[in-house]
Amino acid sequence: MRLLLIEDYKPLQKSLVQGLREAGFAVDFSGDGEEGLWYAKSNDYDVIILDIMLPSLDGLSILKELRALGDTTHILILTAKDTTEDKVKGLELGADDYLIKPFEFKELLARLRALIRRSYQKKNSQLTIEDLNIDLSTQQVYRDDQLLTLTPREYALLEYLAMRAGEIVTRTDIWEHIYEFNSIASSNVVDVYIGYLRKKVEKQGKPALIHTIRGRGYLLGIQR
Amino acid sequence: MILSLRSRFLVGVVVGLTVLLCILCTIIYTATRHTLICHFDKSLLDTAKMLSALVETKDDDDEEGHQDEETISEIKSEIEFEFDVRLTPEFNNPFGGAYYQFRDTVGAAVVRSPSLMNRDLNIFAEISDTPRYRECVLPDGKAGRAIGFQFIPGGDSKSDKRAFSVIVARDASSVYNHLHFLKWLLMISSGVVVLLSIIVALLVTRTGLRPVRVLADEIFSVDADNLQKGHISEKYPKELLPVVECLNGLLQRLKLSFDRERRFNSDVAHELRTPVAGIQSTIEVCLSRIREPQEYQADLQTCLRIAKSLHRMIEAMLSLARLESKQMSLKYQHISIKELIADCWVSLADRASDRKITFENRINEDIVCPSDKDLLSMILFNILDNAVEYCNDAGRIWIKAEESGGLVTLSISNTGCKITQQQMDNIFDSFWRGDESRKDTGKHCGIGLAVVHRLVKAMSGNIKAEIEREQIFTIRLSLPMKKPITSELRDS
Repeated sequence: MRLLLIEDYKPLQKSLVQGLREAGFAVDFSGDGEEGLWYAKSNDYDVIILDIMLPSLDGLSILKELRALGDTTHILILTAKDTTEDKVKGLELGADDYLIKPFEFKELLARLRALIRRSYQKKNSQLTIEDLNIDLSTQQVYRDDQLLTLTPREYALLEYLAMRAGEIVTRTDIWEHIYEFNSIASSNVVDVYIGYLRKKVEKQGKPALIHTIRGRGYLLGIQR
Repeated sequence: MILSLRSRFLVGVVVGLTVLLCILCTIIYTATRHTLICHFDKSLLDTAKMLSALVETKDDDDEEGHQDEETISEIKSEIEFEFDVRLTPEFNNPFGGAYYQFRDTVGAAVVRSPSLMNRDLNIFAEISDTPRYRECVLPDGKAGRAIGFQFIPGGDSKSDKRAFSVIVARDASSVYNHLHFLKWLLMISSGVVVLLSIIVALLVTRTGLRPVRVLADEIFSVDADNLQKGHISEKYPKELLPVVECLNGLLQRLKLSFDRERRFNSDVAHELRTPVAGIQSTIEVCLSRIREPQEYQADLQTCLRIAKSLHRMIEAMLSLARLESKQMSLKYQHISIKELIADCWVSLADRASDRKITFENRINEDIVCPSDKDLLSMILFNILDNAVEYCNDAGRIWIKAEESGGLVTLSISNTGCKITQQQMDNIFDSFWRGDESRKDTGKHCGIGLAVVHRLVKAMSGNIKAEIEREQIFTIRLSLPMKKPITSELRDS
C-alpha cells in the first residue's frame, strides 16, 4: 500500500517514513505544502497523511483543492491542533480521520490500516481467499494453516492482490500501489515478484490462486 | 473629599434655589414697600399742601375780625391760619395719629394741631422748599411718617412775605404692619419651597442616577471569562453615551489583549506538541525492532537535539513569564556583544557549515552594552537560529552593530529570504496569524521570533524586521546603552 506523508518537521518526518516503510508501506514524503499537493495530484495513493501547519501551502488548502478536483483518496490529518473546531473543520473539508500530535505510532498504523480497508470495502482485518489467510494487523499469511515466510515487498504485493481479490489487477496498479515515487522503473520487476510470490503461495495438490491474465494483469483467487 | 453626584446635585439645587428665592423675595418686598410708602407719602403731601394753602400772612388791613364762632382763628406772631376743625377731625384727637405744626423761619412753633397738645414735632433738622419725608416715632409712640417743607403763604414766591415751614406727621403703623406681614410670608414660603425642593431634588437625583447604577451593574458583570460578548449596550441617556463608548473601546482593547494572550499560549502549546511527537515517534519506531548500534545512536542524537531545542524554548517561555509577571529581575552586567555573538554561534556553526553558510561577525570589540547576559544570549541565539534555518544553501549571514542616540543597534542579516512584505507585518506574532500556512515565518520548536519580540520589550529594547535588496532579511535589535531606571528599581 502506498502512502504520502506531508509533514515539515524533519525529525518526525524521518521517523514516520522509516516506521511506515518498516510496516510494509511504500511511502512518499514532502515537507512543503505545494510540493505535497503536486505529489498527491500526480500519484494514486491509498492514504495521504497531512499536517496542517506547512510552509507555502497549509494542509487544509491542500485538502480543499484535492476534494475540489474530485480526488477520493483517504486523507488522515496529523496535527498539533486539538480543538473541536479544528477537528470539525478538517473533517468537514473532507478528511477521513484526524489524529492529534503527539500520538502513538501503533495507533497511527491501526488508523492507516483501517482507512485502507475502507478503501477496498473490507471490514475485517482477516482476509480469506479459499485456503489463503492474511492477517492484515500482524501481516502474517497462512496457506492451509501453514505460515508462509514472505519478504516485506512480497507481502505488500500479496496484500494488494488480496484486497482486490477476484479482480484483474494491472501491472501499473501494482506498480503504483507498492512502489515509491523514486523507485527505479523496471518493466519486469512486477513479474519477477509475482514469480517469487507464486513459489511461496502455491502448493502442490491445491488449486492455483495467482493467475496471469494475458495482456491485462493478474488475478488472485480461484479462476472459474 | 470628592462629593457624590447626588450631594453635588442636591447642594447645587438647594443653594441655587435659595439664592433665586432671596432675590425674588427682595424684589417683591421692595416693590410693595415702595408702592405703599409712595401712596402714603402722596396723601401726606396732599394734606400738607392743603393745610399750607390755608395759611395767610397776617396783614394789618386784613384784621377785620369777622370769623364766626365755628371757625377757630389762631393768630400767632404774623401767621394767620384758619380752617374748619370739623373738616379735619383727625388732627383734633390726641390719639388720632395725625399731627401738624407750622414754624416760622426762626424755628419757633407758631401753630400746632390740637392733637399735639403743646408738644413739638422735632423731626427734620433742616427744611427746604422741596418736600422731605421721614420715618418717625409719633408723640403717641406709634410709628409714622412725616413730611416737611417751606412755603410762603399765598403761594407767591416773588412776594416779600416771610417763609414758613410745615410738618405733617401721620400714623403709618398699618403700612408697616402690612410690610412686616409680607416679609414673614415671603420668608416662610421660601423656606417651604426650599424644603420641598430638597425632597424633589432627592427624587429627581434618584431617578436621574438610575442609568448610572444600571451601567455600573452591567460593567460589574463583565469579567475575563465573558469578555468575548463584553459589549455594553447603548440604551443609555445621551449624557452617558460618551462614557459607554469609551468603556466599549476599553473592553475591545482588553478583549484583543486577552485574545492575543490566549492565542500566544495556545500557539506555544501547539508548538511544543510537534517536537514531543517527534521524540515519541522516533523512539517508538526505533524500539519496534532490534537494530544496529549506529541506528540507535542516530535516533538518540535526534531525540537529544529535539530535547535541547525544547529546553531552550521552555527556558525562553519561563523567562518571559517571570519577566512579565515581575517575578524575575534583569541581572545587568557589561557585555561584549562581539563575544556573546561568537558564543551563540558555536552551537549553530556545524549546522551552518553543513549547508555551506558563511558567517561574518562584523562587530567592533569595544562595543559593550549593559544587559542581562542569559536573556540577551537567548534572544541572539533565537535570531541566529532563525537566520540559519531560512538562509539559502551556500548563503551568507552577517551581523554588525552601531551606537547612536544612547542605543546600540545590532543588525542580523541573512540571504535567501522568501518572505513577502505583507507577511513581514506579522512576523513577530505567533505562527497562526493570517492564514493557516506557516509561510516560512516560523518553524517547529521555534516560536522564536514571537518570544524574542516580547523578551526584547521586557528588556526595554526594540526589535524590527526588514527586507532589504536581493532577498536579504534583516532583524534590527536596539538595546539601551544605559541601564533603564525601571530595571534599576527592580534590581534594588
